[in-house]
Amino acid sequence: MSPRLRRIGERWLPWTLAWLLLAFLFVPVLVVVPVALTAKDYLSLPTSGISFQHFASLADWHAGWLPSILTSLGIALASSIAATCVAAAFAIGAWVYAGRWPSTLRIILLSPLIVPPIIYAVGMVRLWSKLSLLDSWIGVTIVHVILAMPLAVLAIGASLSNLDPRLVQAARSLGARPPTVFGRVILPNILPGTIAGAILAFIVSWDEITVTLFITSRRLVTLPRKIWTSIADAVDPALAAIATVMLVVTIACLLLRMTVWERLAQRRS
Amino acid sequence: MAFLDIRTLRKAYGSAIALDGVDLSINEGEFVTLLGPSGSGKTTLLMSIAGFTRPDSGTILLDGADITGVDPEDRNFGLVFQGYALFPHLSVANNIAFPLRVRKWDKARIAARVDEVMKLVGLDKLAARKPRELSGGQQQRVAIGRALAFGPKILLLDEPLSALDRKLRDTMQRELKRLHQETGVTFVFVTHDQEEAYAMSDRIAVFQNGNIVQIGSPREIYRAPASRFVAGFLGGNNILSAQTDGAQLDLFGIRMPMPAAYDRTRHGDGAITVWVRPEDIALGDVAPGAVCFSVKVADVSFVGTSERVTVITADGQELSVLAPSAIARELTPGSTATCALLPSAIGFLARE
Repeated sequence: MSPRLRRIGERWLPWTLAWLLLAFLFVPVLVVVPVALTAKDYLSLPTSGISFQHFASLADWHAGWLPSILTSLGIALASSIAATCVAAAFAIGAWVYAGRWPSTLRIILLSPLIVPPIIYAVGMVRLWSKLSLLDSWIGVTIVHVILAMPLAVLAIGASLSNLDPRLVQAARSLGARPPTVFGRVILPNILPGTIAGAILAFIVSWDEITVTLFITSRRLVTLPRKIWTSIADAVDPALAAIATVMLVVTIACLLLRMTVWERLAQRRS
Repeated sequence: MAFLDIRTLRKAYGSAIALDGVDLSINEGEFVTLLGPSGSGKTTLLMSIAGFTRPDSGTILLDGADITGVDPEDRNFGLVFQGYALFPHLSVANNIAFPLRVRKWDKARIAARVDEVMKLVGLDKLAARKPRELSGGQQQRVAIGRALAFGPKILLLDEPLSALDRKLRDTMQRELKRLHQETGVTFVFVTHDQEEAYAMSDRIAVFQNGNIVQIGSPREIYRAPASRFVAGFLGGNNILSAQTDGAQLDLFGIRMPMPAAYDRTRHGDGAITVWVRPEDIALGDVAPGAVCFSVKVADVSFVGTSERVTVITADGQELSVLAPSAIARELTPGSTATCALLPSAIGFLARE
């Protein structure tokens, strides 16, 4: 093989493959952007002119998009906070009292990850109808907390696994009572993992569709449910508009995180 | 009454008995080492004193007050761990300030005390560093400083030097001894390393199977081990079988007059067990009054200041001898040599 070919093989091939893979991951998502700008009232590319009418309809309360965004935000925030608190309590407890019981409990807690959501949904419908929690805020939030907890437990558990369990004994021998041990020793050390857990829990709830479809009907419409019905009933381009908005918000969050994080890391060192 | 009084402490984990009715009295300002092999109960006792292990029965008295049920955070004892257990998110100064903040000291007093402690443990230039930026020895100093900062009544140390290399361990041994003298705090130190125990302690308590089998000064324990276990555990001692009729001793098939240390009622007669320190056997040269016997050299190994020579006696017993390099260098495995031993160097073990 000639040196030139070899250089291409060693340098350009991996580079090209990497970018192709990234493009494969991201480009299909971008299709929603032109579709959102179509002037027609069905899903299509903007061949006959550009229009922002579908973005405008998102802001229209009666179109149902805004209420469902607020519903999803509320449920996602509530279930993220609840799931993180429960997961942190469990993870810290299991870390302090290591043994057979915590590891058994851990498997049970992680089971929502293993059981297919559709099976889980069937079970929840029966249970919630008995408890008359179908189509209610509280019912959906509880389900989302259960579904989000495994990820929060994993994230918080991972940051605890790097921590020496004897820190608790050390703190206590220095005179710290349990609240001080938690606030001044454990929490500062697992904060990054806890925040990651909370974000993961938020995303799980924000995205959840399978179980939500089963346990809600008319009263409670989350954003994924609204998208689902609008795709099933009519091919409303507002769908593409909401997708574009979510895309922009996600990218903005990522950029913000990257820049702010860098700056914080620089200031700290 | 002693400062810290431990009375018939018992602790079992399932069927494994960690503490089997341990009694121990420690005086104020003493440096006491709990020495024993792993699993002998020394760490369980330390953690019971610290308050993290609840004994099944027995009491711990501090200055006459029962503290058996007191929570560890209320005992005011410093505790130093093997892995140091420093707070990774706090700087050196804040690690040391932690117990003071918990006790709600005012800011100026904390700053002054942190300064004082950092000078005491020799860390005054590293105040702003995080634990992960420190060497093992420096982390150790932070852990000791943190545990001493609030003026504890007792400092408990759980094998704190075992993760350090040998040279650093020697330095830290001297440091701990200095800190003990300067602060006057009572030290309770756990180790399985006898040299560490000899170098620092006022008294050593030797543990075996959840019991203290002997307690005394390092010299007492070295010179007069109370049992076969203590004699064998402390430093490569030669444990040998001998014969006696009560008047004469027959060791390696050589008859010698009975040493004065022998007591027929305690040590028995017939087949008995004796011990001889490796450094008490001379190779080649003969001191007046010594008993000589010829041996076969099995192995010579260099141990630094001298050579450890393993020899086989005429009656087939293995004997470890410490000899100066100048003499040992000429020995080769398989050759024969002459050993000399003063009968007064022979120790006797009580019949068990």
